[in-house]
Amino acid sequence: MEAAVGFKELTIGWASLLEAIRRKDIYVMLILSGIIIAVTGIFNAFDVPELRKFMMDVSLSIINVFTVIIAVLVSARQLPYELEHRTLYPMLAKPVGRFQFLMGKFVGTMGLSSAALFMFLAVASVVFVGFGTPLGGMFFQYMYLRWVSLFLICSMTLCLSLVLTHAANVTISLLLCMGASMFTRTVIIVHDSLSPWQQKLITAAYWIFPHLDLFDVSKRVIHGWLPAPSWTLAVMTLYALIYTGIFLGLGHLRFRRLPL
Amino acid sequence: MRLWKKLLVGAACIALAAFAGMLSRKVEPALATTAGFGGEELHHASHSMPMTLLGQFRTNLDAYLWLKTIDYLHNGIAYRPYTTVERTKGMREHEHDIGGFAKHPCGGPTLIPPKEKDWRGVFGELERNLQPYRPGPARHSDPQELIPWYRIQTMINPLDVNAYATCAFFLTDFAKEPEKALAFLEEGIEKNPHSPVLHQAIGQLYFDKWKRYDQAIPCFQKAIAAGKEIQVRDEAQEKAFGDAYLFLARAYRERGELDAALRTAKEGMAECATNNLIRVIYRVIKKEIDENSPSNTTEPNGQQ
Amino acid sequence: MRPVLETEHLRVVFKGSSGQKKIVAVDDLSLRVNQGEVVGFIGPNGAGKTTTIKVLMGFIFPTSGKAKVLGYEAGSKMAKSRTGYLPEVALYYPFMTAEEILRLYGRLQGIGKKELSELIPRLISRAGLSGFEQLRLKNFSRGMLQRVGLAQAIMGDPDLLVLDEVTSGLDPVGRRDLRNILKDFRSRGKTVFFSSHELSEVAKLCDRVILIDEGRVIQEKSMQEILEMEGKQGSLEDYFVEVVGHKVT
Repeated sequence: MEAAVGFKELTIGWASLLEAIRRKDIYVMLILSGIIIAVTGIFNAFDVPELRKFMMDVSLSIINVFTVIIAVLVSARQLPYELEHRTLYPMLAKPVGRFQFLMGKFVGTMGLSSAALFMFLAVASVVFVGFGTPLGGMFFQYMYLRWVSLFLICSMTLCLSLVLTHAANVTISLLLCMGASMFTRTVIIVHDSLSPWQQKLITAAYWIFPHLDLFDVSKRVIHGWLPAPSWTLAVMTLYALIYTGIFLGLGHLRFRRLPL
Repeated sequence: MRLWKKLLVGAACIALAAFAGMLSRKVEPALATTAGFGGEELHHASHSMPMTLLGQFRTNLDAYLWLKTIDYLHNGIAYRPYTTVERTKGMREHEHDIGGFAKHPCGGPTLIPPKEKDWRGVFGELERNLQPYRPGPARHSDPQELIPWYRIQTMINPLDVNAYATCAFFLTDFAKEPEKALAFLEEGIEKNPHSPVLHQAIGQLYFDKWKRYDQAIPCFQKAIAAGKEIQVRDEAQEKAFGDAYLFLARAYRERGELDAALRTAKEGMAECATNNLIRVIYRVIKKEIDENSPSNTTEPNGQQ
Repeated sequence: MRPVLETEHLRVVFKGSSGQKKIVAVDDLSLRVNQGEVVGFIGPNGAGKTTTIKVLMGFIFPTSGKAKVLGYEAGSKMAKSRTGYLPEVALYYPFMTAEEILRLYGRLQGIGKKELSELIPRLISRAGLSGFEQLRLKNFSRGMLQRVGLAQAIMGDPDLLVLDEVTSGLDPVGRRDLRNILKDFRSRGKTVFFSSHELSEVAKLCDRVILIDEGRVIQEKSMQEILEMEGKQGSLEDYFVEVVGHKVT
């Protein structure tokens, strides 16, 4: 029975994936991958070894931004599309629970976002290796943590899509994803300048906001740092899974009694 | 939406805005950065070429690359200036100048706090392990690595005088290729004929590396003339303007033209009151004149 | 006889937005459909037909009262596993073909891969969609989409069919096909509960009619009773107009 439950979620996820392929979203990704090659190629045209660092910097920055955008846009449209076009009625009329449906959508968005990420990374890897930049252990840690962060991003955006309008959801999710680093920097700098109650407030905010900035270890890759200790990866995985659970749980609480 | 929900959303928005305002007020003075481009460059940028979208893009990309060079120099470790509160406790950035115009703010603490000062617990520990972090003062990577960056910066934005000057400095002092530095600076002069920074940099190259004072003097003179044309000089221009007086005086001194040297130093003292080195060279030259001609106490311009 | 579908004092109230009053969509609705019956659920626009059906499928939740399907709580997986449902406005993934969408629903129904590969061509043929299997649904007309909806509803041979506005968009041939399907279901002892505005179709298909208005059951009559009312009502339409004549249908 449990296997059947997983199968149904995969089936719903597969539909989302098929939609992206048929809607030609996948071609957009290929074009974006092409941009990465073009950008990095420009800097390699100078034939200066030092510029490879910049090539990596640009490529990984593009991958970071595009992956987040794709994950947010794909996740944000899933449930509103189903509700708006009423395509979920025949699905939910089958022996499929609402949580299964939500999980199916999560699986679909994760599948699509992961496919985009790995497509980008495959292109980048080929370019890096092709231009003589070996892929060290740190690069694989970067790949892993970026992938793990997608769990958090997709679940958060899916959850928010149940309480916000599409435009608001996309804006807020992108802000949370892209602004995490700025938020952390600001909090660190101002913390000691604040009054005690302000410090408590900001500390609480710091602990509550999902720290997507911690999943981006591209700087360590670019500057040739050694791989991070394995315990950090384990903690980050756990962190992402806990937040994913929280977001999916909150999403379910909202979705399970939502009049359709 | 129900009324109470609307009120709640409104209250949340006000609270967020207040919170953001509070943060920005705290952050603003602490993060004030020096302008990437001087008034002259900006003037040229806005008048010599149409400020098209492409132009804006080039300027922004150039500024981005400039920030990246700082990042690369520190192997990705981020540093920050001290906050106003920290300054009141007597904390000060140590002057960290690797020379030329590559002065940059790494004399402050690391952005990621050390363990003993970090209130974030496990998050702090994670960040120290997952981001580039090394406690203690900044250590630089090989500045030669940055030379191509500055080349690209000048390709993207030929009005970026600081990139020309810094690159020339790195080429001279680290790559030991002063000829290339000279060619690069001359290219910069072509694009920025009114830049005191570049004229001064060429003059200093002739002065320091080849001791060709005859060739250095006209460069310093051009730098001074260009500097005088600028109504409000930025930090780099002011430094170049003062250094032009300083080294022009020194060049005259090296050629034995002490009167001209003294005259130059005196003018420099008047023009750049804050430049203490001109004051020093003035005293040195004056002393030399006094030693050479003990009976002559009259100043070169005839004044007592 | 065992009830397949049952509601007791069902009440559904939609909360209006701020400043607007609550809307009572279904008010104290009690009905019962027994096994093997084909029941027409009719009423004017806004009577609460679709809301009732949505409660039965678990899409919305009753404010009070009970709804049971096949002896299980309405909307439960057990109930849905033996129920076929055709929504009022049939919208299906436009990027899929008829074959793909039926495969999707089949998988969700829990039908095995091998069984599906045999079942889907049969369903497509039965719904009159032969030759259009590989065409994307975005190119389908409303009537063709309704046929796809019907095919997915009867997939897995459910014990109960719940059809909302069943004849919507169907051409005469489609209606005949639909009649044949429903007759086949009835002949095999299955239960059909459907709503429709096409009263002539209802008359041709059902054993019993439940008429609702303003969320309440107004009358329940077997088709035999309606047809026996000679002189008073010549047809189901006359009966409908007589009872809820003040409404625009």
